[in-house]
Amino acid sequence: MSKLVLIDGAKGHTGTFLVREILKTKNNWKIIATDLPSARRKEIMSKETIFSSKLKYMKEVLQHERVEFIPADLTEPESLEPLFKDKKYDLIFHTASLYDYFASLDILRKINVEGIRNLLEVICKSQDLETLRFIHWSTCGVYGEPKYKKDNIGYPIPANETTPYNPPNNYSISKMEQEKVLKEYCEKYKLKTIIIRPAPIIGPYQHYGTFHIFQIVNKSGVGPGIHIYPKKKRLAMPLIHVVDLVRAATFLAENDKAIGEVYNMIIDPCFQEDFFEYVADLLNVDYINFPIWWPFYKFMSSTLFWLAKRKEKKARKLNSRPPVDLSMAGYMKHQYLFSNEKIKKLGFQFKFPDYKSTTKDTIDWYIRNGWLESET
Amino acid sequence: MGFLTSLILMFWVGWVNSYLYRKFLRKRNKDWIVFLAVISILGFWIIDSLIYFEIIDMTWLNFLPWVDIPMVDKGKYFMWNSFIVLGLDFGITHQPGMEIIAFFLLISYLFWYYFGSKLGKIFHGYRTYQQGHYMIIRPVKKYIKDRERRLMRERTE
Repeated sequence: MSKLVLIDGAKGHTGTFLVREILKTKNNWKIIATDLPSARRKEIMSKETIFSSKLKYMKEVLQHERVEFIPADLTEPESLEPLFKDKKYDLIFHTASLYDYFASLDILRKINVEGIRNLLEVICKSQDLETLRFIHWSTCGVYGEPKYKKDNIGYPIPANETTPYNPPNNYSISKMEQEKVLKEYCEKYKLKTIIIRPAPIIGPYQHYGTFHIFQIVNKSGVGPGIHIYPKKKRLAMPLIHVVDLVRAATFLAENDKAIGEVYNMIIDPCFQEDFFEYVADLLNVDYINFPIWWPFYKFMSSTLFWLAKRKEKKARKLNSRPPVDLSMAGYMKHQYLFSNEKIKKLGFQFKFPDYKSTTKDTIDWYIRNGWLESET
Repeated sequence: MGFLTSLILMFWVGWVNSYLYRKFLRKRNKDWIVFLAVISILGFWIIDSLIYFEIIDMTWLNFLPWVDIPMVDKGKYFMWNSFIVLGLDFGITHQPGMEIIAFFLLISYLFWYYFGSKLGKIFHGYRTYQQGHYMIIRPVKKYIKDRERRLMRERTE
């Protein structure tokens, strides 16, 4: 069945992959893609100009004949009108967000929270809400570090979608508020929504977040081979491959059972120490095993976190950015362990179900394209 | 140069060599690391052996007011008490059988050099583009400079 689809944030990492996925698998879907006009994007997405300028991968896909690009700014309601004029959408994928841990809460609120409000306002007034489905991108970050239930031997059980909000940083706060706005409109206008909460996304040409971990391991030359004891304290590494994320989005969009539901998008649980060992292996850097007792680790990670905090402060003073944003450093302190059972039960099959396949695909791309330096 | 001081120096030389190798030499020739190790360890072995067997006379250090190297077994005395240069005289006198300990200490230079170079590698990196774990404490200004340079390069590509 032919469908008219709107994708906002179409120049972003997930947005471009979503466009590609639809072009590849849905022959009769027509895409209206939107994103900020280039000049405005440069101004807002400072991380894109600071961490990388290789953005050609994000532009080429929008030149496809089945894609119509209409620039718009979620923060300016009048700029949204051309997107909805004489168009009745079947699906709207709301991937647009300012994903930036360094940004202030004011800017995040303006773009993420007010942005979705402006968008929903226009949608609820101009679209047929009986047929429309709105797929919203949130984040697993809205859970923060939940209080985990323990199994018989004391290991934490992955948190599911019913876990209460406890956002640990500005970005996650803005995503939580975004969800609340969406729920508000959902109740008021009976809008059919599906919320996806992805773990940190990795995949080709992703230049923020997990990419920094790969860069650090590659540049440091020695993998941090920390093994925490007792084992039940080992920290999880939440990840999701961008390809699986967009596959899940199209899968959920067509599934009636998904309406009104929330889904975590995350690979099967893996531990940071296994992940780092594998990354070091792929990047051909040394890996030194270093067993450590949990209280010592906690002290060490707190010290490093304090160091990262100082670097951030200094970077703000110099009107730049630190090498790693503070919230990313928070991963070495907190347990982020979430469950993907709900989407699996619905019948979704991951193409990259574990950390090995996910990481290998991504790192191979970085090396092939020279994003990670190597001597050979 | 003395058994104890040489152990410390070997460690330090190993560390510095690994830094010099990563920073300047690796891009020219990867074998430099072997060359540096051989030169450094052989150099220390030769010099220390020459002092031990009194071919190099260290009594010239007696001009320092706090140094008093005896004329009997002067080489061995200096090797066992090399901290005398810093004013720390442990007063260890050479006894029969200490040659074996001296031999093992000389052999252990290898280990100390290796230990230093390994830690240097962790701290400063090994390949030309690496920065090692020093990057954790690296000043933010250096990152900004690096980033600007990289972005300039990417834009011209």
